[in-house]
Amino acid sequence: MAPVGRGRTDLERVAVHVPDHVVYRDFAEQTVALNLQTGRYHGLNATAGAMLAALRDAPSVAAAAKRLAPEWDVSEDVLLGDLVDLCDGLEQRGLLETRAAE
Amino acid sequence: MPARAPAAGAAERLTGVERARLVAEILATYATVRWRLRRTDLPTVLEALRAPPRRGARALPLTHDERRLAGAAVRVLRALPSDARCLTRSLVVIAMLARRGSAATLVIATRPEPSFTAHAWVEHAGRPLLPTEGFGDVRLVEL
Repeated sequence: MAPVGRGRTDLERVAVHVPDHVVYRDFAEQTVALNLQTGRYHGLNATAGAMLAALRDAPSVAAAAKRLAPEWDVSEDVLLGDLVDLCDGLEQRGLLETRAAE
Repeated sequence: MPARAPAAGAAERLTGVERARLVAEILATYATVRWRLRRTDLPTVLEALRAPPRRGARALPLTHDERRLAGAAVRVLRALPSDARCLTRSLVVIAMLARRGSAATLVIATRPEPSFTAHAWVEHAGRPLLPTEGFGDVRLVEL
């Protein structure tokens, strides 16, 4: 997420998008992602899979943190940091793109 | 001895020349698939393999039905000493069917537990032409 800072205001303006060349499937213990451009499979544990699902559904990264924080009983700020780290990791692997929230 | 008429529903047998041509086509397609996979990504490879024949070239007749053609490809590729994994085999079958004007779908499936495994096969009209190896219920993508 290089183009944006980590401030809450910035993250309210950033949404995530799964590129067309990436497919995900949720299994009981993990989520599997396949990057069709690289041919590489990636595994996400259950927590990362749930975070990704929230990111995909939410209109922004901050909104995903707001939704998950009470559910998981963690502070929104801590969760926001974790979501940003996850987005960074997935983006580096070509599994996720960030764009301006609508 | 009078020639026996083929039994109803029996598959038409290929002549020696036709069989040799088919084997040559399978091997040439295999080489093309390997070459393309080394150079570009899967969606681009699929697009190229499914491209309509060049202008002036005629589509090959479907002398086998789709399942027999896939079976022939598997038998030939199994004999190769080089790597002919499920994905390569599937792409060979897709290319050969495309040359005959028959559309097929590449299915990729994964099973993460107990250890990660993945498999690919080809389907035509919703039916598998290659073995699903028990992965039918864990599809990841259809291309």
